[in-house]
Amino acid sequence: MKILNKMKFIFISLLIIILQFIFIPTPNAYAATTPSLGQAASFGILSGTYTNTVGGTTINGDLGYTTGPATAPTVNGTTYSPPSTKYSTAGTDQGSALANLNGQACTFTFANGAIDLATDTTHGPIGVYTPGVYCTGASSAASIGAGGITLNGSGTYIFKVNGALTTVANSVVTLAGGASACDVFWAPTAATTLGANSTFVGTNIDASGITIGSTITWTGRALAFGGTVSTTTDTITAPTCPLPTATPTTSSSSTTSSSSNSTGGVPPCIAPAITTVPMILSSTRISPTSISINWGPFAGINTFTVQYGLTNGNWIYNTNVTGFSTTLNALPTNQPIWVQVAANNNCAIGTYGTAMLVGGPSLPNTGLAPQQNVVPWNFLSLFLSSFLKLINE
Amino acid sequence: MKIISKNIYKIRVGLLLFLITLALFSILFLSHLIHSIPKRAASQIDKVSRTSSGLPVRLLIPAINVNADIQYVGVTANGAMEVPNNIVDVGWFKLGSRPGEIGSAVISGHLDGKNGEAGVFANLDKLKTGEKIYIKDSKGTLQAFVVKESRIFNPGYVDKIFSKNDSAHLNLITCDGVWNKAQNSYSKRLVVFADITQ
Repeated sequence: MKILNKMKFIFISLLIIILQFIFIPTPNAYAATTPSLGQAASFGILSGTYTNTVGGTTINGDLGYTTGPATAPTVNGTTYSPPSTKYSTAGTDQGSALANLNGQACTFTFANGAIDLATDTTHGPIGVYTPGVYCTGASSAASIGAGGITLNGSGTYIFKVNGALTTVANSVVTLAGGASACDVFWAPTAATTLGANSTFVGTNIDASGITIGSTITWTGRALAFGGTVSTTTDTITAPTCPLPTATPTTSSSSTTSSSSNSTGGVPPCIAPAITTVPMILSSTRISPTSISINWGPFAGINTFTVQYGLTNGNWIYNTNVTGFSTTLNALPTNQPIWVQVAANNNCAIGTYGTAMLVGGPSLPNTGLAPQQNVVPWNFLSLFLSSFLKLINE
Repeated sequence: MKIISKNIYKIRVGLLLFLITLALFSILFLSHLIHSIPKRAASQIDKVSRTSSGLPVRLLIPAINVNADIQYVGVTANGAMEVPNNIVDVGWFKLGSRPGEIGSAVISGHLDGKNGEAGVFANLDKLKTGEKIYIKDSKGTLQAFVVKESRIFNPGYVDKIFSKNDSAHLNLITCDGVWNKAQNSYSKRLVVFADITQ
């Protein structure tokens, strides 16, 4: 009887352990979840002080502030100020969302020190991020360099920056492979500054202040309730998002996928289908041994593979490029080369565009020096031709 | 005496008639020869194809009486396109596209010779927009191109002459401008841009 009880106890504890494995997912790169933004979701800009001194800014969404701007922007939404309940509730909801983000465990933590998200390779392929919670080291700022970044795959992206967040001029945050602006979050602990002409994506919760540089396209929300937001001829569009689904801890499908990921070792390479076929737009010979080329268009991917050789079809060299131009160096002296470019999503290489000859030679010298004191062939030929003409008529 | 002089007269008349006939024949022959040059160029332009698998062998431009053999040229030591080794042939840039392929096929030809005689492209400047250029390849296929524009460039690199990949282009180059003794070159280059006929 005692033995039977003991066996029962072992059996039940085993069952509990097994059930735990099935129903409680292990934390991994796919564990990030989208928090609810509540009333803050409809705001393009939510601020304590909103600064805008020139015309040309458009906010597609609601605008909230206590202290208003010198020049009103175009608001395709509603402007809320105290004593509006929506304004104050949005502020509370912003705080709840930030608490949710801060509560989510980091799936990847960068090494201590300022980090350039565009050039970092410690997290994975350069410039490409898959869903997850990315955290900078202690007191470490983050920036997005000229190469920009691509958020690749559907899921939630959270960037917890233990310092300031900056983007350089002309940088681009790109969504690919089903990534949505609704599921991208930035939570810096110091101020955010976006560089001119850049493209930014996601909800940035930063009460330390958000400075949006000149001519920026931002699909997301600048939430700085209690802080300052400033704009200069920018376009901010709050995305229309479905309400966040319940956390996936109770969903059996996500449990199986996460457990297979945790035990499978290598995660699958998730990438968008490459639909773009790049075209070489122009080329310039820089020196006898180097030629620069550029191509387009931009269609969600800004990483490319360039292959080249001395004849069309014989591709003996290749190089990977982030961006839309490169200079090919150490080429055979003064030889034109054939080049073709394909988009590269870091999982696969797409279709190569039509090959092009670049670095063509300089124009030929097709004239010869006129010489004097020789047989006047031109006169003779002139005479002969006029004679023939005469007898022809 | 009278009979002899009569005979001499007859011989003289006969000789004169013979010479006149000879002259007439030679004139006829010469005129035929002159007329036949453009006719021969034209007679080769019968079946035009859009696809080519051979290498270019002959360039025909009826509008300016060009019917020239094609040499294959590359790049000189200082990075310029080579030119044909005589003034009657033209040179196809063999490192680039073939005529009819996607890309720019480029052909150069001399403007003049050492003694000032006219080169194969002496009249290239007279070629007008809309006029036809034909290329015969090694398999006998004929391809037609239509002149889009003529432009004058300074000597040097002009990438758009060699680097295009939107359709099949044919660009003809010769010299233009005035002779620059110091640089041993003419001051300008004339480029005729043509596209394959649709």
